[in-house]
Amino acid sequence: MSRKSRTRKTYSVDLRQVERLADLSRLSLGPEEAERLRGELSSILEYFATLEKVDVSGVAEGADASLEGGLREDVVRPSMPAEILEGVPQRKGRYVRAPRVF
Amino acid sequence: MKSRSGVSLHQVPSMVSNGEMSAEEYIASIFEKVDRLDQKIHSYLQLNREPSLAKAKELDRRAKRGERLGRLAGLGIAVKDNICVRSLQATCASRILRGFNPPYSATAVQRIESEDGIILGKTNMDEFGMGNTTQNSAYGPTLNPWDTSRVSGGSSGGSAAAVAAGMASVALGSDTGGSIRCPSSFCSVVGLKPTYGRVSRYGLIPYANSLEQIGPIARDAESLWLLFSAIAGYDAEDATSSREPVKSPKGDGIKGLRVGRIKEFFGEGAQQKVTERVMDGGAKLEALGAKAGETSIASLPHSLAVYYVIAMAEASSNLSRYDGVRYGLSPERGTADWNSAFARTRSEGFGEEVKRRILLGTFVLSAGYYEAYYVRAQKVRALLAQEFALAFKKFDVLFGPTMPVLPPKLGERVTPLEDYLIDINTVAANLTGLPAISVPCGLVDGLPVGMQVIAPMFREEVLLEVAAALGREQGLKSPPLEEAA
Repeated sequence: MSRKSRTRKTYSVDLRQVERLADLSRLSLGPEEAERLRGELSSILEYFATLEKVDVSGVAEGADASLEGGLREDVVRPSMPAEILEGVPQRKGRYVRAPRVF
Repeated sequence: MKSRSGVSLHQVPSMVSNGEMSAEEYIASIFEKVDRLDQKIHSYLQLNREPSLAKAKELDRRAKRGERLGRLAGLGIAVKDNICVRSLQATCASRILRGFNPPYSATAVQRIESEDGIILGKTNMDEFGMGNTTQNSAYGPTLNPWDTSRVSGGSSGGSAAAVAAGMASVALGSDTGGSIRCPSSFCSVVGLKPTYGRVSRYGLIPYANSLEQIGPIARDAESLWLLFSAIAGYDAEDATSSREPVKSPKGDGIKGLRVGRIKEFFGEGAQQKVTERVMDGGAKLEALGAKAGETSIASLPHSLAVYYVIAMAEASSNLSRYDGVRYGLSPERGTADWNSAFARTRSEGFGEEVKRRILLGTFVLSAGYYEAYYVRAQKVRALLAQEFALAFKKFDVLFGPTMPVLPPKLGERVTPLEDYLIDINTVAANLTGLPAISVPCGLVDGLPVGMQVIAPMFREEVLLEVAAALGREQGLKSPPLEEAA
């Protein structure tokens, strides 16, 4: 893709992009679902692109970080391993059962 | 607001404390109403009936012994299903969290309980807070008590409908882009999105952290304040929690208050009958002594795109935690490997709108697009905050319609983008962190209209003054379902 065509974007996504996004998001989509989303995503992204019209020269991002923020003291506190383990859907005794990796 | 027995909701705690009123009878009467009405409205996903009645009984016993009770004593409080209450399921109205029992309660819930409020149950919502109709719930929509062929609004639709129909004294909602104010407007109740950092979000299941707040929904300003003042304030468990003290409303009305009509809220896209009602509301504020004028927030028309870029980006990151391994839905994996098992859980567990937002959020954060969408959106967000700060030099509060439209019909077919567009008036308060309230502002063809009032950071008490003044002026209307509360 030439530099020029890159700056003149069209705001549609194709099926390959939808599938790539689904893969990154760990979602599996059926063919009809993917096709429907392709259209929906394209029109929403086109709407997002209206932001290009705003003049933001000289504006810094992240102006919302005005809160004092608070970090807690780094001290050991009781946790709740038993309660949390209780909520694990697939377990073997005290171990969490996960899908195979290899 | 007075019930049939002539008691205002905010007087319930002192009357229960004094033994003038039985908490048990009161809570039982709320559950009777739930039994009668909620099959139709569907505001609750789960009821906490027996523990609620037991707690009410206990309060009556303690009152009899002359103990001082908390400031929420005897009030029945509905809690949105994305706010954790220990011992009650928290599903966020999603299949992916079906059966999830949180091991702790949210700070807001702990504070309610320590003030002797009674948690009635968990309310319906759009899945993970993503929507403005409650139709995105995996468990079916919540209907509007004013007209059951219409939506309740969302995403805190269950909480707002429950309060409107008298199925709760007050309720907790959460607001990421209007989710407290939208259903409050559609159901004719008062709903407050507090200043960012005002109410602890510990125990709120996250959707978009830089935007969301827990807040109160009530039938009148006085009971709203009662719940708000109980849950507001610093909490070490939430790193974005503020130490700014909560000021009390003076209660001396709005004489001399400078109220600014936001021009952009009255433009095209808004239904004329709705804007007319809100203009009338503005005239009422003037009649009560406020000084009205008009102002412009030039970047407002862009706020919706800014909001959705940022909210979706944060959602795609937040929702990556649902892997079916540690909690929630977990289908049989067979021999599937990690990635395909992960994808299967998520595809079965998430609804359409959630998937759409995850995909778009992933897109705007991906290499090559991040600058064009996400960074740019953050810059326009900063611009918006500057414009509001400027407007607050001339005005104490700003106002306009909460929703540009009347409550839509259930099942009305619109594209996702058309659906997003009705959030145009509410998202700016989340992007800027400003506190904003929706106050009932009359009816159009029997359907509620809400006025949104926005104040400078940490000035919720001014919003309360305006809501109380408008409430006194208009009186309270109840949905035609039957006389509520």
